[in-house]
Amino acid sequence: MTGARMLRLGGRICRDVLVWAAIGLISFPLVWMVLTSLKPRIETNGYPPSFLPSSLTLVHYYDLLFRTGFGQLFVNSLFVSLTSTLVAVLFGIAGAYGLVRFRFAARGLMARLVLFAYLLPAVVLLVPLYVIVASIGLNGSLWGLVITDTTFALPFALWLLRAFVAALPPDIEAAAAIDGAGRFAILFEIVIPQALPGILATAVFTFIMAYNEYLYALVFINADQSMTLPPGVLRLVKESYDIDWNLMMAAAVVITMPILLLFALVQRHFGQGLGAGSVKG
Amino acid sequence: MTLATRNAAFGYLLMAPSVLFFVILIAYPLGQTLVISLYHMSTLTRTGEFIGAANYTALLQSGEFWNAFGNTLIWTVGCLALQLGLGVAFALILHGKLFLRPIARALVLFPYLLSTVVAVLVWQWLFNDLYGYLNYLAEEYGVVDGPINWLGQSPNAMISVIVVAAWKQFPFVTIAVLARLQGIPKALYDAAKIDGANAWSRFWDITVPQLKPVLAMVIILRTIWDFKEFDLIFMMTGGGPRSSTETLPLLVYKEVFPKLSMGSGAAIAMIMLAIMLVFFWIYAGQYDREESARTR
Amino acid sequence: MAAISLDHIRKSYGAHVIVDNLCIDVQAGEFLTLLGPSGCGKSTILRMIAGLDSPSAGGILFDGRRMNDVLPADRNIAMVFQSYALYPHMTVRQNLEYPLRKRRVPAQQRAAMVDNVAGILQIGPLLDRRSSQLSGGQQQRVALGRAMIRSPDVFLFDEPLSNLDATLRAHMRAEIIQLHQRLGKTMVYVTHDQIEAMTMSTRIAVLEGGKLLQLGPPAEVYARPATRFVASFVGTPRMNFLPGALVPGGFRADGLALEIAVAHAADAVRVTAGVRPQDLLLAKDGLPARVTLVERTGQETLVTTSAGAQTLVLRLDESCKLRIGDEIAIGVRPGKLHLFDEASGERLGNDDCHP
Repeated sequence: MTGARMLRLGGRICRDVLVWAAIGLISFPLVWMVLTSLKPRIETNGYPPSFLPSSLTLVHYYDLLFRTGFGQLFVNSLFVSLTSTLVAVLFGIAGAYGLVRFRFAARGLMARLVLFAYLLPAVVLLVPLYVIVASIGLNGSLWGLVITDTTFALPFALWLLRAFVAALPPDIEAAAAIDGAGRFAILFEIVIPQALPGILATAVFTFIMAYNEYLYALVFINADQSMTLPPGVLRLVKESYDIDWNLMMAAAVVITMPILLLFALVQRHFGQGLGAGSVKG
Repeated sequence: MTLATRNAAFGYLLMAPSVLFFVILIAYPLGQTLVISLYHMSTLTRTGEFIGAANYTALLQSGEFWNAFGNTLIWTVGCLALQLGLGVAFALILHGKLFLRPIARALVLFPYLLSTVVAVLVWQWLFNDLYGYLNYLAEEYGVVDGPINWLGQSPNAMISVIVVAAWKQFPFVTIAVLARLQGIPKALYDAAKIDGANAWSRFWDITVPQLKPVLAMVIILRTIWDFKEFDLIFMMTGGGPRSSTETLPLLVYKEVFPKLSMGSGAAIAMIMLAIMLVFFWIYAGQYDREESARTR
Repeated sequence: MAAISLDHIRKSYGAHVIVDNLCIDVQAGEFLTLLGPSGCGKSTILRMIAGLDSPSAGGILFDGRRMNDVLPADRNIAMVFQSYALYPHMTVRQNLEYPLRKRRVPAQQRAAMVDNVAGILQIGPLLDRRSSQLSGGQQQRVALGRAMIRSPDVFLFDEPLSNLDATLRAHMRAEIIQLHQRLGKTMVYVTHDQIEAMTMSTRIAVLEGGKLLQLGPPAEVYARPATRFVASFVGTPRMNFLPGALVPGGFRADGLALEIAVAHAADAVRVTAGVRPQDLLLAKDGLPARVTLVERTGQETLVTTSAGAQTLVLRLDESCKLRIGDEIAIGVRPGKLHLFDEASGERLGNDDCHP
């Protein structure tokens, strides 16, 4: 090996070590989360705090699932997010296909409105949506939350799906029309199968968005049994005099699990989905 | 019916559920926000009297509003600057050669996927004054004597919240920039090499101009999103200490719920909407330009 | 088999007119080519025949029956696209079966029809592959098969060969001609490639800017182009054009010592004369010109010359020994001059050429 080559190799190793140190720094909070959730409490609340646990324990996960109301929160969150994702994606597919492929009056305006709704701050609708949900007697109910979550999930899903549908070659639908497929057959047999990866990615992003929703859950829900995760877990923190951080980190890990799972499912389309919604190219 | 009419009718049919949703749950509520903002109205009774623009004039004269306005400005600019710096830096790093690059990418992108509540829990734990790891490190390595009050005093609180937000959101910038970097034709760099450009001028003359449109989009989009952020700040600090992290979205919430003053909350929401419309207008313009550039 | 009538068709988007007052009668069993540069409206016309676009005005008739408001599915047509438009999520077999399934053909019959078409097009081994795994030529064959399989009344082709390489294109061209001869169905073929138009068609319709310029058999379009545009679009190498005027006794080119006797001589009419490269020859007392480029293809030699301000291309045989810079004199084969009105571009006189 020549000197120059060794120097270059050395430089590269140095660079990689530095870069990985930076990545370690970025990931540290997550590592710390997992470590804390697996440590005995004595190691967390002592001085100095241990970095690596001397013994691993799953007791905090056990406590979380069987000694707190976390399980109920989790079920509630899944129910609200899955329902609003389902509605948003179904309506979104139909709307996106209509918006992209059919010529009708006000089509451009519609596309603009979808973008507007997608970017609209949730807090701007806080007052009237609170009034509406209260006036139909759904405050305090998970169904009220499904409605408001869908309100924000639908423009998001529509906007993402629009890009996915627009990316499909229109000739294929024309070929199907000529081959004898009716309008619904084209949608179900030709458009949806082709857009399936995009639809899946959209569903995952929409789910994550609804799963993370905090403001409306905070405002609408008071009773513990119909609380969703974000406000519910924070209430666990606020209500305890002495916060059990091991338990909280176990909660953080469990909350992250569904997202991690879904992300693994659509990882290939991750950048694509994000790009489609905003900054494609 | 003609074919064109039937096609249009089918288009309307497909749009109908979405349109219905939009009208009932977005358009009508927006109108309601405007109407309520002209009333003196209690959140509990939801009745009140028409007072014209009085909510607005009262707001523009209140220190609370301008405090929140200023905080929103600091928050948005601070988040944006930090996110852009981190985001672009990591995009460039992750675009180049790197040991175990796929894993590095996944790790860097991960904070963006986290629930806000998870990010908040983790960072509150790190910031904890008694057992928090950050204070331990700071004391252990002699940076400070006593524990730092990360969230309980000003300006620490604002800085801490901005750092957490930037940590959580910068991967969005990374993803967008990375996608663009991967889209730059390699032939451009080859041509520049043949023309004798060194690595530095290749970066300035090829990479930077190619990134400009995507950066423009990212900046506008992140500005809109940071501007409207409620969850992260509210969960971290609740707006405190002493309103030092209270931004406009938090002020809306505070007016409507703790203070039960629906009318003035709606008025702040309308002011936010007006500001947001400006950004929306810029974004839509930029989006159209991008779109037509792409289809050409 | 069906005859198609386009009756005063118009297509516009707002003020933007794409097809303007077009009338074409396609006879049953005919192979009609719509030829023109991109943007001339030819694809839009095809899409209107298919029912994918609706005309803004005018009627589309199949055997006298108005089809404007009939869905594409109910027109009993088949179409082959430039992009092939195979269903990417289906196998080749499923692609071929799709039009049959939509017409509720029983499974057994479907299988037999697929095997038959696969045999004709020699795509049997590909049947269980996904369309995305095929090469361009294979995809085009499958697309052709999907069109053939249900014996439509009309075949529509939208630049089907544009994405293929030159060898494959010649091969597929022959296959489509054979298909037409075997099935005898009405076919409407859109292309910008005049060689395809010349070799395949019963008749050619030349279009520009949404207007029909000429409709006729290939030989006639070539020999008697109706407008200057048609003359320049049909035939390679391109026809030479010389601005000039009709004077008593003949055509006089501007700024050149060239005067040719023509029958329709009139006084002081501004015209453009066109002459194909093979109708120019070396002549002792002809127009002096200098050779600027010599291109040898092996079987012929294209010689580009400049005479005054004009450029003239000659098509000479392979034995030509001319080199760049040579001074030559050019003559026109008798009776091979085409005259076009300078303002309107329209052909003067109905003869093959002017004597």
